[in-house]
Amino acid sequence: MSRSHPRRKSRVIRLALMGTVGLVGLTGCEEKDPLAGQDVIRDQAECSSKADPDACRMALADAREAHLRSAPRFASLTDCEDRFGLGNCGTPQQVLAGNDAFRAAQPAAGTAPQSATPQQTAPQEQTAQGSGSLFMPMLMGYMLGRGLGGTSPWAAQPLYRDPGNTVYSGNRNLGQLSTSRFPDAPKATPASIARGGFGTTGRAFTVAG
Amino acid sequence: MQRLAVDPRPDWRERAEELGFAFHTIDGQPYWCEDAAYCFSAAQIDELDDAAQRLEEMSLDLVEDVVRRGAYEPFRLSDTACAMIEESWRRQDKNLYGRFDFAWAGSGPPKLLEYNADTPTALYESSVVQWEWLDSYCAHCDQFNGIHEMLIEAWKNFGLWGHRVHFTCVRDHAEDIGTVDYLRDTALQAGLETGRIFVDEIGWNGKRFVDLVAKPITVLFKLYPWEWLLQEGFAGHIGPSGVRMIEPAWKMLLSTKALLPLLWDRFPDHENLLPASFEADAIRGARVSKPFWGREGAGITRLAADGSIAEAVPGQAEIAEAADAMVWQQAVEMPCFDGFYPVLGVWMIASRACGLGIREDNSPITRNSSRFVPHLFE
Repeated sequence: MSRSHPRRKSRVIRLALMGTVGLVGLTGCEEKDPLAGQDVIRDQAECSSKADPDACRMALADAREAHLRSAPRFASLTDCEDRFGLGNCGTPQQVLAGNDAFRAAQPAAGTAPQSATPQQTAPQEQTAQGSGSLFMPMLMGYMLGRGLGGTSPWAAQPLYRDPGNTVYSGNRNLGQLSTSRFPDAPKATPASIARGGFGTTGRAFTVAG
Repeated sequence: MQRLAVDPRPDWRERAEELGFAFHTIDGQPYWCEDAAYCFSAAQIDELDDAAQRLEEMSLDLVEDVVRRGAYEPFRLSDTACAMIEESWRRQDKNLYGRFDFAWAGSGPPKLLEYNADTPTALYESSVVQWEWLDSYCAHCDQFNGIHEMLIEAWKNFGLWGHRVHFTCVRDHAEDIGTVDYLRDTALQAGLETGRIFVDEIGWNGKRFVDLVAKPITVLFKLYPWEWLLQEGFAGHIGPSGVRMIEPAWKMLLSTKALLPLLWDRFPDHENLLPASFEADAIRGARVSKPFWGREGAGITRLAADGSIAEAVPGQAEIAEAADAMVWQQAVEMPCFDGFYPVLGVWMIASRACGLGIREDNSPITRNSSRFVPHLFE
């Protein structure tokens, strides 16, 4: 067998995490809020305080439609809430009604988590109505900007987030929000998380061979 | 192949620590040793490189054959394990790394002692620490060591873009933590998002494995043997969770010593293999018994030609329970240099031979008290 042997000594070894050398490249990891410097509003009322109410209404409705088209859908409320947090999911109807209506439907704080969602319809029933994936993350708000040649002088991008305070718009991950500016991330589902199911053998031994 | 006496750099400890090499000394004994180095010719390195590459191809050929025929019986694995192996092989899950251990004194064919295909250790010292040593000891010398670049390359080819790769190992174990941190480092350099979680911290939310902030774990690199995972409480969740495991489940067929007799059966008299069998009587003369899932030399016994015990390393509790899960391998004359017995570990990254790490012990069985010694070639 004749093969060439090109694989020899490394020319340069750079380490990003290990030790105290070669820290170059790690500095890109500092927190950078994707919404820093952006105009973020939560609902129609907040928008109207900054812009013409009718323009706001149009822009926000467009953004909600965009959200319906591109945000992820789930077959069951639980699946959606597992991913996006408790009380942070709803049907397209709830999304279309906007944040204002959604908040009105939310029970007061302290109510049992189970009732935190207005429609606790069984997934089977939903499926029977003809569309499989009916639940999606609720909007946390909108990012405002000048519209580019549209009918509205304003454009709004829909925003939603998960319990880790990562923010998304449509099908894009925009990054991690700073918790100081956006503290009230949805709570992760308390769906009991079991731990300690791995690692029992390893306690007694060295692992590698 | 020679063993050179070398003057250790006076500041080797500081240098090692600067590299984040936290386990240069283990239980008070030096583990990293630069008072010696092994020196090879380029042709000898070629020989090791080729031998490991051939064995890798033979091993993959064996996996293909086992899966195609459903011939899992000799491996003594659970049905769950076999199902996961089959699925991961059919899905063509990529593998990251492994280490072939050879007995060799520099001439004749290198003989395979075993394949550490699931949780090989000594990666960081092979890839980075001995490289840094060579750079200061003999900058114009060469070293069989492309491990670092190959790791980064392998991560790029895993098809994991957009996923977060969680790295897990046991807590309170500097060596394993160091290895996992190094692998994370290379994954990060390949542009992947990474996280670290101790194996006992991994959570199960009823559908998926989750990390400490309840985010789903979708890709898990585990420095933790498959056979341990599979006997623990969460074993039944691995399949349904859809988590992508590295190493993939099919590596279970290669990380067991059952591989040795199966390779010998499939490639009889191959020059890089030692005769091996599931039956003690099938091996003539001096022989070594090895438990299927032993690590760090545990449970290995060397028998002289008359059947008397020449050397034995105590086994781990779990090995004792499966005392009949043993293979027998013909004993090879272990090369001895200045009273030390080196084992040559050739690194496979993504199934490509790309580096060498040498551990030596003062007895013919390499165990967890062995020392790492750097190498070079000219």
